[in-house]
Amino acid sequence: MFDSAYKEAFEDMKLSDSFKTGLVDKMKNQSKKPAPRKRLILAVVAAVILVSTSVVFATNYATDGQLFKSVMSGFGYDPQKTKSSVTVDVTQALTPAPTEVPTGIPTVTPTETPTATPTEGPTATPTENPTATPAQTAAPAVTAAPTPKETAAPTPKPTAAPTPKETTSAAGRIAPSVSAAAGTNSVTVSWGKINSADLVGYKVVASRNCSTPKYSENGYYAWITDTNTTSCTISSGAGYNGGDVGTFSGGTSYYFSVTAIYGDEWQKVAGNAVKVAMPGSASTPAPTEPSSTEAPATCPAVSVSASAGSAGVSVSWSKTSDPTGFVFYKVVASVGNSAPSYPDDGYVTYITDPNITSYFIGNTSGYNGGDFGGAFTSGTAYYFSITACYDGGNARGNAVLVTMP
Amino acid sequence: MEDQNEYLTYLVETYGDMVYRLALTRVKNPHDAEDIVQQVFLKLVKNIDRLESEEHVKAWLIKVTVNEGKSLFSSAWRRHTASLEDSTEAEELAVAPQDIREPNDLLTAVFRLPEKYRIVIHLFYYHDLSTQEIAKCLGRSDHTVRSQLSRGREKMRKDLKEVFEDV
Repeated sequence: MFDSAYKEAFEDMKLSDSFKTGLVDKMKNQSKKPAPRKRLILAVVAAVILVSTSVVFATNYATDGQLFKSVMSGFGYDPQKTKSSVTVDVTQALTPAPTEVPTGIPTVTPTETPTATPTEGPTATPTENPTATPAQTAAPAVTAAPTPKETAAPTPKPTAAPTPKETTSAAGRIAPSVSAAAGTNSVTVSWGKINSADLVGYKVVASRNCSTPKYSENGYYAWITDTNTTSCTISSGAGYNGGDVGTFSGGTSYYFSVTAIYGDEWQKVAGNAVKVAMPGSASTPAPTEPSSTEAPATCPAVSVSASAGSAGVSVSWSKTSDPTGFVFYKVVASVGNSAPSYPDDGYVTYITDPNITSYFIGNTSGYNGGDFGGAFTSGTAYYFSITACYDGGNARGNAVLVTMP
Repeated sequence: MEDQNEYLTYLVETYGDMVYRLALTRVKNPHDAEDIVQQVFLKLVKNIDRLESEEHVKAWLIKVTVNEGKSLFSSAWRRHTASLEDSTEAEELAVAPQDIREPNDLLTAVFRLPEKYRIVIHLFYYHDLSTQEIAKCLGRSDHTVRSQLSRGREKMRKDLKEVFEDV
């Protein structure tokens, strides 16, 4: 009792949005490193070690060369074929190694940039064939590679013994083949299932003006980490993260697409786009799904979307259309109830600002009440929803099933 | 770069208020608390590579906020000793209506506690940390934390006049 009263007492003490924005800007200025930080550090360390050992080996080679030959054979180096300088040999021997070192250091291996090149290539693909077949390989990366003799997809040299993961990543990083169809009050986006070991998930994207929408440039509607999922229904009135959509409104046409995300480095491969008009009239964008029997007209329900993120689930919802008498949003979740609501199914937190429309639930967050023992568990699927609470009653929003990462 | 920016936004959105509230408990003044939040997050950017998981990030933030509060608190104290008006101003800010709303009496009781109890109470009730975790975080002994917690509770109970029987 005291615990919750204590937490509630602090609930209103918040940083202003402008302060947060300013802070993020300052943080951005301070951080100069790109996103896949750990890999980059690995790459630097590996490159430094290889270069420094090459110097040692060069000395060794000049004397008798036995140590050099034996160690370099591990990299696929054949001492019989090389008569030129040692530095060149080391560079050649390095070529298969970047399976471990995706962002090669330019000074060492200037032609190897597997992470950067494929990203550019496939983005152009959807423009040319909007009804493309699933087998869109990431091959266009070849055109972006600075030297033609380098294969963009690093075909591993036999002795390098690459991990199987890398083999599939080179071959299996295809663009999703997307189709979309209008329903009664929604649009269902479908795509061909991608069988790739390093597929992280799908970002369902849309745009009002951009005919080739892709993540992250155009924001996203949903982040789907269940790689067996091949469709996503977007209701009229649903909110969108980033981009130029805002809220999907009936009678407006949108370009829908899906961007597949691959690997630790989050390579983004955009699928084709399909233009579909959101059904319904623009004047009544209220979603049908979240209708609630107990809520009178003055207590509108909100439209909810949820997606798995980094070690948690991000729940977003549309802002209440009538803040009169608004008390708070309760973020609710359930394992067994596919239509959870507050107070029956407990809550994660409550939000008293009607303008806040998203909340992140970490995968170790606690839960008040509910049917799953007071805390979220990684790997379990939950129905997430928002109950909008007003003076006049509560309105249950639609629920979204997401597996807690 | 885009992902990095997204991640930074996410961190501020997720932990900003948590850090702010903890800082506020420490310094009782929204402006100083904001300063602390900024310093803590700029430090976070520098150390981000070393923090393996989300749990690490959270624990790190709590610890650094507590320490950051300590240093800022002492410098603020030095500032305020120069003029007596300033220190009373800080007291008023702590209970200013625009910063603190219902249930007012509970917050007033918290902010009336001496600093050493306040921080223990906050870590215990807001962050649900165990006394051992708090001890580790503050560099105090478990025994000290326990007695500070019970004394803090005792003081609040008197203040709140048995509104909360289970304090």
